[in-house]
Amino acid sequence: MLEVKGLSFSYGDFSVEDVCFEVREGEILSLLGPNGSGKTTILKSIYGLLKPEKKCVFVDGKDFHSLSLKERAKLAGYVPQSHHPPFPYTVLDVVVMGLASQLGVFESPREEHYQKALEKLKLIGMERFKDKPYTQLSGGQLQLVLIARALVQEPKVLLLDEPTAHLDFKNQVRVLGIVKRLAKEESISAVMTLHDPNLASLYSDKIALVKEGRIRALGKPNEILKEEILEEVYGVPICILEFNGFRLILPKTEVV
Amino acid sequence: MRRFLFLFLLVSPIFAFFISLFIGAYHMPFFAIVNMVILKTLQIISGILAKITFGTLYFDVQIPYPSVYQTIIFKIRLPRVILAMIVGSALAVSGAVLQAIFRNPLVNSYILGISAGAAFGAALAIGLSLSLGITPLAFAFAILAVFLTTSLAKIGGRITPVSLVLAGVIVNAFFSALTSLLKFLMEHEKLASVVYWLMGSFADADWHSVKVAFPVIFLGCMLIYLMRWQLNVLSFGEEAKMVGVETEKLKFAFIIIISLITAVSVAFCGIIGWVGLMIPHIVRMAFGPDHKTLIPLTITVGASFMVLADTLARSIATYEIPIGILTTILGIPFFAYLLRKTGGGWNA
Repeated sequence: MLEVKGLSFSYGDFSVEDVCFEVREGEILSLLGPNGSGKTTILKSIYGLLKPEKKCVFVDGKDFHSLSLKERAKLAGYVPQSHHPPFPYTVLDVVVMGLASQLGVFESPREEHYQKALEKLKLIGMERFKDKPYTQLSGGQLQLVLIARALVQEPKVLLLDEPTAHLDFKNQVRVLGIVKRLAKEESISAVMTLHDPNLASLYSDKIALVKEGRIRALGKPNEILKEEILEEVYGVPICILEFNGFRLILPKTEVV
Repeated sequence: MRRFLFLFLLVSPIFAFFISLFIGAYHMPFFAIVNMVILKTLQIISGILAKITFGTLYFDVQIPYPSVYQTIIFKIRLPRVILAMIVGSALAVSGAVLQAIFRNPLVNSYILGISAGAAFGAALAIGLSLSLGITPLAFAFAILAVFLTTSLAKIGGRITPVSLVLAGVIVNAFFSALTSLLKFLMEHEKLASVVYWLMGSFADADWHSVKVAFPVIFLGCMLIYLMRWQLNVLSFGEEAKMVGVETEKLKFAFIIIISLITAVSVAFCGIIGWVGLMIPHIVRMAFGPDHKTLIPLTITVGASFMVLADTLARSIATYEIPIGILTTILGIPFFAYLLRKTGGGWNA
């Protein structure tokens, strides 16, 4: 279980203040909000890539930031927004890097480690790409490989930074479907940042609406995705349609 | 085929070693040289055994070849061959490491200011007529230059690829200007030796230089070899932290090792360009970017390339051609060919 208790971080005139939530095993929490609202900052602060002001993140009751990077990597995986490395490593080489925390400085991965990486590639249906250069993958494939790399860490907590950015419709659905399945099957507590309220509502157990570095609302999708809250967070007129028990969040457009 | 080439390149220094010992102004039969090297090795081993067992000589090895053979091989060619090999390895592997940790395929260890610092140190020693001071001063200023570059590049506790390249440019420019000033003030014959030193040469190699350089470079290459997989992870930049790697500490360790082995190399044989950039690229284009294979191959190919280039340098003309010129002339066409053929093997 991941608990965030009063996370605050400031940098220049931007600050994130008093973020609190908890994510149980198998649950997905989405951080939802406009650009520049501090979603990624919150995610990076949870992992300790940015240093929050006091101890505030606990994984299974342990103070997460008192652990070394190595120990943190064994508990939590971070899936960054993908970018290209300078060299075209194969997909398998990239996934096996997730085992860095389990290898000493003088060690290189051995057969058993490559097997483990291959297993995780199979789990997300990417094993046929194992020898392909990572730099030649499409956006959706890159995202899945980065998820596989986080999975070989066998994390209890998974943090995903905009896993659907730059993906087409099909790949958005595919990637989020896999995240949801993994959270349930592997009992992972997942936190992700998203842009699309509809996707957040479909794939999350909890949503935190973020505006200007503060959480404005936190709860189950159906409880908090309300017109007036969304309008306040996003600053645009919004209407919500109910259809077969789904809530569709749409911008109010002036149709000519 | 690739597997065969891989194994061949891995053992290529052995062939390069004997070829280089064989070629020279004084001709000797090839197998005499191989025999002499084997017998000498046995002689040394029996000597060591005798030492640790309090003087009992278990087997007495005689070398049945004329003493002129032995002088040429063991006093002249062997130290030069060994020095060329270890310097080739050091420069090549340093390039590979820096390209990975700074995620920049265009850097080599000279970017840290090492060459410019060493050049100034050497020019200073020549200018002050301290002929024994060339190596120590070149080494001292090479290390000083690295220290300046890395401290300049450190912004908010971190060294970024861009800040490092910029700091390197600054330090290089500074020491180059100082060297030019010294050259301007010098008499002509001293100026000639500075220019010659800057072109790089193994002509002054002797057992003393091997004794100093070998332990440093051997240990450095061993450490890099053992830590080689970390380079894969480090080349992902900040993402390396997300898989649990202490990036700053690790980068620092690599920079220290590289500075030492490059500075030792430059101090003994001047500035030999292109090896650090070219060899890692050639190996990467042929065998891919995984540092598990890249690092050992870079070490062996660097050794083979340098010793063969040096053999050419001292044998194709009646006078010696500076090795730095030769490595560039030899390497560039091949490098250009591979670049056209493979598209580079990296991602710009």
